[in-house]
Amino acid sequence: MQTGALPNLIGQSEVFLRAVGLIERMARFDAPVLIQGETGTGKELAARAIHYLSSRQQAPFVALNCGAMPEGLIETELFGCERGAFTDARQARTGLVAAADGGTFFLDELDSLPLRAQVSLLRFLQDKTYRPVGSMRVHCSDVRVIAAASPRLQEMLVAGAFRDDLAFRLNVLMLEMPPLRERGTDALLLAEYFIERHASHYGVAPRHLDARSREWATRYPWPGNVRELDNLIQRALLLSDGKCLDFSLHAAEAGVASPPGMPPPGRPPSQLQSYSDARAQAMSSFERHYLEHLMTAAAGNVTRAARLAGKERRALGKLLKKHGLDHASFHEPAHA
Amino acid sequence: MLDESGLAIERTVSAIEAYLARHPAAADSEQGVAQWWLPAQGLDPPIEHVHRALEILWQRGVIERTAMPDGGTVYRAARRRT
Repeated sequence: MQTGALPNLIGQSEVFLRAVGLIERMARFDAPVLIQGETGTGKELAARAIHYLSSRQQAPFVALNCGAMPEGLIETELFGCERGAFTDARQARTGLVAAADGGTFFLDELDSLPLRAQVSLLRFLQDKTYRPVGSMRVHCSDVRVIAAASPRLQEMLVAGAFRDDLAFRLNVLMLEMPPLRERGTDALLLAEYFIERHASHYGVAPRHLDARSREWATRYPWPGNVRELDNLIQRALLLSDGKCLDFSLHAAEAGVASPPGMPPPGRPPSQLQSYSDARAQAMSSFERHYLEHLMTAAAGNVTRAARLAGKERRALGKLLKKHGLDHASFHEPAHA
Repeated sequence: MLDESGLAIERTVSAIEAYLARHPAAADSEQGVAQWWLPAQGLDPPIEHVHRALEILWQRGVIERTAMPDGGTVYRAARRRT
C-alpha cells in the first residue's frame, strides 16, 4: 500500500504508518531532524519525503554521506574556502551549505562525522552562520539540517566519541525508521511492489511470489532491511523463469541461510542431496549462525569479534559481507 | 530515428526540463530526480534512463552538476551568467 502523497513509502504495518505520520508532521515545521535506523531502512528516503512535503520543496535537497569523506576536507567541503586558504586552494570555492541554501542539507551517517567537523557543524546550527576556511567574513545560510545515524550513535554518545551538544541540537525532531523484521507483513507488500517495478523497468513479465517465498519473507529477519529485499527480488526476477517467483532459492545461492523453522529451499526436506550440495548448505548455514552469535557477543564490534573468533579482522569483514550482515545492527542500545 | 529506449529517454529529458521550469531553484541527486521530480511529472523510468537523461541535459547546457566529495552528484538548472 502506497501512503498518500508519499509514493515511495510502501507499507501498512502500524509501526511503519506511525513513522510515515511523523514524516508528514515533521514536514510542516522547520526544525532539525535526527533520523535513526538500521542500514537499509530508508533513512534517506524519509529525509527526502520531509523535504519534498515541506515549504522548502522548491529549493535544493543536498545529501552528503559523512562516512565517505576524507577527514581533512570536511570543513572545506561544508563551508567552502578562500583562495590560498591552503596549498591546493588555487581559487575560492563555495561549500555544500551554500549549495543547499534555501533548502535542506541531509547529513547521512552522521556518526562518522569527525569530532572537529562536529564542532563546526554545531556552531553553524546555533546561528546559521559560518566562515569559509581561510576567510574573515561571516556568511549566513538558510538551510534546514536533517541528519541520519545508525544505532551506533547511542553507543558513541555514551562513550564520549560523539558530541552530545550536537546530538541534542539535531534531535529536536526524532524519527525512528523501523527495521523490516518488525514490520509484520510489509515485506510481502514491498516484494510485490519491487516485482512490478523491476519487471516494468527490465521489460520482463511480472510474477507473483510463490507460497514458499511468502512464508520465507515473513520469517526471515532481513538484516539488510528493505535494500536487501529489493536486491533479492531483482536477482530472482532476472535470473529465473516460471509463473511464480521463488526468491528463497536465490537467497540460498547467495549464501543466505533459511529462516528458523524453514528447510533449505530447492527440494523437499526428505529428498537426499548430493554430498557436496549438502555440505555447502550446511557450511553456509553454520557460517551465518556462527557470525550472528559472534557479532551479538561482540556487540557489533568487528575488531572484538575477530579477536573472539581467532580470525583476521579483514577476513571476518569479508565473511560478514558475504552473509549480508551489517555490524551496526548488532550494536547494543545504550542504557541511560 | 530513435528506438523505444531512445524515445523513453527523450521523454525523461522533457519531464526533467518541465520540472525545472516549474521549480527553477530545485536541486537534487539522480535518486532524488528519479524518486520525486519524475513521479511529479507522471513518469517512473529506470534509473539508467534518468542517468542518461541528466547527462544529455548537462551536455545541452540545460543543467549544471556539482560533484559531491562522497562521490555523488547534485543537479540543478543551469544558472545564466551575467
